[in-house]
Amino acid sequence: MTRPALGRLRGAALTIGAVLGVLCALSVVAGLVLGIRPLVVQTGSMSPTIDAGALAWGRHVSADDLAVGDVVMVPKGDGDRVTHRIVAIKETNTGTFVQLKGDANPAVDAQLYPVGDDVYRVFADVPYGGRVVAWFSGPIGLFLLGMYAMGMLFVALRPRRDDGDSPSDGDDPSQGAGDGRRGKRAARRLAATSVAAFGVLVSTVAPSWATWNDTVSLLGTSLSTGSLTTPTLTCVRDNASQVTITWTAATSPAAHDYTAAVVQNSQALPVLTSGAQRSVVVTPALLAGTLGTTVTVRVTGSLPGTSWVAADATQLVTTASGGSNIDCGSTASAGGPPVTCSVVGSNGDWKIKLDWTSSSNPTTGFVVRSTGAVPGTPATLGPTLRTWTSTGFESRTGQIWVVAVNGAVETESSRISYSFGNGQGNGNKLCPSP
Amino acid sequence: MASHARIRRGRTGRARAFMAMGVVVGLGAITTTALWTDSASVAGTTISTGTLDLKVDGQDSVTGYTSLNITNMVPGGSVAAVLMIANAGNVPFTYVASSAATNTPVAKDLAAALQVKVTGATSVTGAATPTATCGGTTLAGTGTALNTGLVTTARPLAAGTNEKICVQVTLPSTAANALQGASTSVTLQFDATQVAP
Repeated sequence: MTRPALGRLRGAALTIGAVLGVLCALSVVAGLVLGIRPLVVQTGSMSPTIDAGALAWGRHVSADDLAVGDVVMVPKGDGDRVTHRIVAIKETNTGTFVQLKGDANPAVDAQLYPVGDDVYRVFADVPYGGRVVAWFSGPIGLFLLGMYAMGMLFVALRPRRDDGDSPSDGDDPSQGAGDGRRGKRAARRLAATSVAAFGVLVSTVAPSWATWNDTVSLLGTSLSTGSLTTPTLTCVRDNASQVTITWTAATSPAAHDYTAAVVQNSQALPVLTSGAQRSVVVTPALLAGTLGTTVTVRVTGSLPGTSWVAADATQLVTTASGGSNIDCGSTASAGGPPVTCSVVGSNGDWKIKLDWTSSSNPTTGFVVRSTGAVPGTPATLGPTLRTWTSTGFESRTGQIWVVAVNGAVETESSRISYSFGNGQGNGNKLCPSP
Repeated sequence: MASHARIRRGRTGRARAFMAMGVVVGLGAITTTALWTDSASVAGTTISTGTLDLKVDGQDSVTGYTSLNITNMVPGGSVAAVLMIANAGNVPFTYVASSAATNTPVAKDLAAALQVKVTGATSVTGAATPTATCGGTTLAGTGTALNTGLVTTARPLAAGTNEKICVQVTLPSTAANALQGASTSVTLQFDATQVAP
């Protein structure tokens, strides 16, 4: 009873071993034919897709077959391989590169990997399979595999018949006599095969660094430059033959240097320093060629040693012909004519019409100015006009006003906010008089 | 009859034993084919359950980094800060760093004008902006501008070690006049990648 039971057990074990063995052998052949390679995944950067210690299989693919989302094994360039997922494929004039990222990594790999002939796409993996393979390539595993191989060799190459079992069963009369020789031969074969098996197995498994990475970002750095300050000029008429323009020197973002000149004749004006005060003195002698007109004195701030300059500050200076009676001119100031605004025209052609009053005619005339690009502005008008009408428009908003120009002196009307909406009708065309 | 059965069993057992050796072939094939032809051989297979942890100034992410902030910068001005890069994990890594800058307004490309310098100085020279600088010589393989690599040649850090680098940003005295009133927001990114032990 015991012997048949043991025999059946041994038979079952042999059958299981045979099935596994055939599967293993077939997978090796299939792998060779189909370009499939197994790989032990050594780190967990692809988890949870592929955990550390898994055995993964990659199939050789050409660069054209790669797609974003594929998990691939590519050489890192230092001899090792990295097994990560493709997040981008970049075609450059030096070839195709893939951007990879481990599923468990917070950031993409710093390196772009070139796609050559040596790329494998992972199509299957067995958790812990790599640990098993790794264990079998360790000393105990190798020893057990060796024992297993020897055991199987012994079964396969043993004498055809058990010596003690039914001696009358001998199918070859010479067998009994040859047993010793055959046994030695079998032992030699067994030893040789074992050594070969060890040779195959005493090899190391290449690392496949499904490498970890980590990223730290430093957010929040802000760098900003300063701006130079345009000085505010004050002009004082000292007497009929001299005006003085003064301003305060700026020190932010750094101490400014200043230059001053007459725009019209490019005459440089020496800048005088008194504490934080800067000034230039303008006399008719400095206005050669421009006497009898209004000139502009320009003051420019700059940072020493750099190309940085401030926006110009300007001051108008007037002289009578011959240079007598020099005086400070003024830029536009309030006090212009009272203006009424109305919307005129017809559907699809609505315009702004301005009317104003002025008891006297300005010496130069009127100018209509606007923001928001009212068609026709700025409009320069004669001194006798008291009305102006734009051309038709829509879809604009802004301000519009009238300037009375007396030589260098401009006075502005109050500014009127207009709003012309979209469309043909005038329901949304507004220009309320102040 | 009985002897025939035994003989048959003996033969099939032999065949199955041969086939069973396929397991050895299979495992051998895995261990050998896993040995890529171009790979460095490593004695034994280590399956690492280690951790890789990069910390900059002791932190895993910094949202309000202000040490490199500067306002009212003028040509010739500079700002500098020392960063401590640490390997807080238990595997060695190499790290690289890059910077990304966003200009405001976009038309004023302040980031392109700013010059960068990375040295191994462990403290900043000059107490305060706008004259703080990094002493020492420039580290090899480091960037000189924003919006590109800051540390381009990967620097190794063994597990549990750290190093300090000094980052300086300068607006050169040749900066264009148009760069007045410009601003740029900078993100520094440090990337660590595990290396074989």
